[in-house]
Amino acid sequence: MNSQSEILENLINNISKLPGIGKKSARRIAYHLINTSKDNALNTANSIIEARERLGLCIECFNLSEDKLCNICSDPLRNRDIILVIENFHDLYLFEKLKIHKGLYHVLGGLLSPLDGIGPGTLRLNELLNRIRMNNTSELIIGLNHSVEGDSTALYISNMLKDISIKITRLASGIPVGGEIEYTDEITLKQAFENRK
Amino acid sequence: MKLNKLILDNFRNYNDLDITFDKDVVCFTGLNGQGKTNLIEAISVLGLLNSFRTNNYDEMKKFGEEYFFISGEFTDKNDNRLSIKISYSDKKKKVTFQDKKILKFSDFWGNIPIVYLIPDESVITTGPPLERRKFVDKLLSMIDREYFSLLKNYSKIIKQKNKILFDLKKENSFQTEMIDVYNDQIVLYGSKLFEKRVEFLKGFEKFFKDILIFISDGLFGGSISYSSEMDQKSYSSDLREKLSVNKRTEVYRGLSIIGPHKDDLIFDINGNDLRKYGSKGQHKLFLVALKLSEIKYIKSITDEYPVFLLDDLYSEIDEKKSAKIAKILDEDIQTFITTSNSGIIKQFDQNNTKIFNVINGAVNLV
Ligand SMILES: Nc1ncnc2c1ncn2[C@@H]1O[C@H](COP(=O)(O)OP(=O)(O)O)[C@@H](O)[C@H]1O
Ligand SMILES: [Mg+2]
Ligand SMILES: [Zn+2]
Repeated sequence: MNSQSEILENLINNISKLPGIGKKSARRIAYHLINTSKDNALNTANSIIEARERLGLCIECFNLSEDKLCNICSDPLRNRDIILVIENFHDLYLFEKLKIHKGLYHVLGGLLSPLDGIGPGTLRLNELLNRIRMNNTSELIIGLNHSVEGDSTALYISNMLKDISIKITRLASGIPVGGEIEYTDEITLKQAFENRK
Repeated sequence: MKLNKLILDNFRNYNDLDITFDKDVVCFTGLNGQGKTNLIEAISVLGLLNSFRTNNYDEMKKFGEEYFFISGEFTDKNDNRLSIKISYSDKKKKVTFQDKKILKFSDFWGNIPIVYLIPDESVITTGPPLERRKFVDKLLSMIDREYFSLLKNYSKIIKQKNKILFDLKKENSFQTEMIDVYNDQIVLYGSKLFEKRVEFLKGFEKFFKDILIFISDGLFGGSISYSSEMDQKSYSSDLREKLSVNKRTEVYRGLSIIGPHKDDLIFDINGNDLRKYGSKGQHKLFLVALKLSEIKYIKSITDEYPVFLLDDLYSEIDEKKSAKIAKILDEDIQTFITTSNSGIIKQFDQNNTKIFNVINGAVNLV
């Protein structure tokens, strides 16, 4: 090996596996972790360990959670009749930041895309169906992107629930066709939520 | 739209070319293999960001070089200057328009309208339906943002559905939940595509009929009609019906076979199907008329004439017809022509024509 140290190469290698980080940035980050105070570096390492050991998924909504039930599902003030279906944790974070949704969530864990090997079985769709049946949920809000994958998932959910009496709404105008929630600014997202139909 | 200045750096067989154009008809003559088509190709890349020859930018890089750079200065009908620069090195494309970086190519399309006619395109009239759909899809994508995004989504839907059908065929099973999801979207996007195509044809055919009659000296009357397995009076409901009826067939084939991605255009000449009965000369003339109509149509929608690129066209067209074509191109349409026979340029207004001789990557005024 033509490097300074095998330990260093190992570190760079692991950092470069993080999303959006190439070999060059990984090397920079590795040097930083070695140059910074030992406390700083170990804090980072410990946070990773702590997150991985103590964070799991809420058994109801699949949000991140330290306990069996997440903060939202165990909050007595949330409206249990309404569920907002979203793609991932990050979208949940965006909706919570806006404080516009008073009900519960359901994190699907992706969108239907056969080309990427994501079918109905890969997503938490059965779990959603069971939840709605068990709790007699009265309204389901579909908060998925307006892309082919988002539309397909929304259609699949509507078809799946067609024999159940539940009001289904979809975040409407505001999010441009082909638009992704992540790139939508807060005002548009708020409008899309309020104008759902 | 007019191209005033073209710079090529390591593009194909050009080292560093810097050439200005001040006439509406520009002709590149010279022997074969000297670089005439390469010039036309460069101009088309400036407007479309794609080459009609290849999808691979590496091929446009001069043999043995690390990068290429091309730039063009255009003026539109209001005399605004438009500058586009494209560089390619390390497998990376960098495009700037008006000195701003273009991140998504589709955001740029339509800014510099280009229509080209190259010998390969004879497949539009002779080839399979796919070629005629491509002709319409390419044209509409350039001038109608909504069409472009409909088409993009539609193609994605078909790809996703094909994967489902392929998997079902492989597993020898028949489940329709996922097929239904995509069929619903095919109806939604597919009927909009159909409507837009038909609306386009209505406007386009008017230009086409006049032009074909004119360039054929009144010999040939032509028409273009939309052809589909669906009933065109109730396209959307018929599409829904056929998708539903054919689910098993599609699974059996492992392929999506119902929808506007199977539609076609029928070209008629003097009442007969050109593809079945047309002579070689009729095909050629039909194609020329299609392209000239494309120019007129773009002008009618965007109020700007595209730059017209003609590669090797005149090899099979007689002088009388060339004169007619020249007449249509007379009004303010900048036209670049390559030919190994500079005689035909006589048909164009000599005061508005410039002829360049191309020898092995060097371009000189004749
Ligand atoms: N990437 C390239 N680098 C250098 N030369 C090239 C490249 N691609 C094509 N050529 C050369 O360009 C010439 C063909 O140019 P072209 O414009 O098609 O000729 P014509 O004048 O017949 O239209 C050939 O000599 C070919 O070797
Ligand atoms: Mg050529
Ligand atoms: Zn929860």
